[in-house]
Amino acid sequence: MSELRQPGMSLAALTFSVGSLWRVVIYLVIVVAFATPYLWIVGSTFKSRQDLFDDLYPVSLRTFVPSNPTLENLITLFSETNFAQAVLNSVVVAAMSVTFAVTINSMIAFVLAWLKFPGRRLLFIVILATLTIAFEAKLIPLFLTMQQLHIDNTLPSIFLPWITDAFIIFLLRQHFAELPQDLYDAAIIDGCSFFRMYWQVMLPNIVPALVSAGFIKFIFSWDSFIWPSIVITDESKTVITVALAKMFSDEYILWELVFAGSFVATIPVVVIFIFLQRFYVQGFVRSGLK
Amino acid sequence: MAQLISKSGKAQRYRAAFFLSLPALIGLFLFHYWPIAETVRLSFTDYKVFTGEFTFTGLKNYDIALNDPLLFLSLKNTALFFLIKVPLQMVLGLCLAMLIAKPGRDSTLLRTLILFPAVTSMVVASIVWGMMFHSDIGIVNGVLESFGLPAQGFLRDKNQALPALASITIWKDVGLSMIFYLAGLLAIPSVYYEAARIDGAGRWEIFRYITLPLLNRTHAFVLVTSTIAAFKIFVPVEVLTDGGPSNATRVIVHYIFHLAFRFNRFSYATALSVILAIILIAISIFQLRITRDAENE
Repeated sequence: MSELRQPGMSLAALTFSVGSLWRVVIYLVIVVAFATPYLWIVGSTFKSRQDLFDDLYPVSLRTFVPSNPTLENLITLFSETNFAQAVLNSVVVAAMSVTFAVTINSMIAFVLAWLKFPGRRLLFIVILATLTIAFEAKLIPLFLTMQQLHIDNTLPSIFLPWITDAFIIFLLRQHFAELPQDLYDAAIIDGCSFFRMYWQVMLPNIVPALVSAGFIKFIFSWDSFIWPSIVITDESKTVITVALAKMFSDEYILWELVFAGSFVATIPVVVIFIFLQRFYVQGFVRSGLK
Repeated sequence: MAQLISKSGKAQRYRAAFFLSLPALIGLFLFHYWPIAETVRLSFTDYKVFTGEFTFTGLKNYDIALNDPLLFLSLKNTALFFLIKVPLQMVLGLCLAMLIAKPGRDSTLLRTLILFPAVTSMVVASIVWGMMFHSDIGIVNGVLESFGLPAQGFLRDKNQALPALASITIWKDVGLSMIFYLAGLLAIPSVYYEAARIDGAGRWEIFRYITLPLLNRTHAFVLVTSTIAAFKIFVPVEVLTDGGPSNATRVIVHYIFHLAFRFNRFSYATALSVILAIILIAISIFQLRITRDAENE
């Protein structure tokens, strides 16, 4: 977050100044509240079913740390269920979603920032207006549209409706608009076409914003649950969230596999996040408060 | 010269604008505006499961809605959920932001940890907290019992289910609220604080009369986004309680979803979707007003 910080700012007045003992207590409460679920997922993933239940009570270190670590759950999950297919589907959907969304939305964002034409402001408003309508409110016709287009129950039907994304257009337009006028003028004087101006002159200058947009889209895609659970009926095309929810709603819940599935769905993303969090945070902050 | 350039390139510019916008515009109309128009149209029809046809019935669906006790119950539960979640999330978000505003390694680590849930899918968050809140095998009850406190029903108790769901979603969403508050805090010029200190203001006064009011834009933004998110609560309900126990967690999106995709009552569900959309737009307009007032102060 240091990039948000203005140099020479005094922060002492903004922060809670609490005694060091209290500070430790507060930190501890926060760490327990936010880390426990992850420790529980990780620990339980590597426990046998027997150990999982034996270690629950009383809650102690054993609840979180496996005494006889085993890969059995992950092996069972990938060999005896169709979870591997669901993971693959989620990865494909997320990759497609990010690629198309970043490309298509950056194109129109460039137009909105630099190519003057009559009705441009109106177009921008028409795009932003979609943010006010919750997608939950148009779920049913969207589903019927997919049937009419005969693309329901296919992987593209999962990501196609969310490609055009007003949030990303807004974010990228902000970044394009902040590039210097000189860049535009120089490209024109060099006889550069507008397509090349977009692709070779402007786009390389907003790479951090593209990473922000792409990562936020990735999280959105990875998280999506309602839409895939409606539009996909074929089990071989299911995605990770739907597969997990199904495992969790089975008559006889295989707890150890639910943990292993949650582990696969969560831990890689959290690790990626540790490296990309700057972009994630910037994406939200820049689009939110301007 | 700039004039000359822009004039000669006009046709070219319009053409480029058209082709570069086209893919996004196709998506915009096919997957945003067309379904919205269809939602409104279908809400005036009746869907027949056997023929798959929609016949025009005028305002009948809206008439049914006005006399639907489950609709009112689900709206009441949604409002209750909002009332539990949003104020708590805002207060916690601000407190956490103030706690980590001081630069340092512990602030960075805490910020990262508090943002983990933001990138964890809601289904996983629901499942894991569902297991932690499980009345028989959950570790929350395990902890309570080890302190000699009675075990709670949580998601199985009709008074505790909605607050339990709210706490799960607060856990998931508070990180982003914190980030917005952090950005807001860091944007306050330090001269205000210095001036206040010279005037002899205490910590509480500085917080009350400088920090809080200067965060008005942030309050408004966090309020708008978290309110809309709260009204769309669905995933934890679907995964954990399915509207129960005894309808205590029946919320609006869940109700619409089930009418449509479990009972094939597509037309009636679209009418409720229109009502939901109107409520959300009304909230947005109302809160944009507040935002504008906040900015004018």
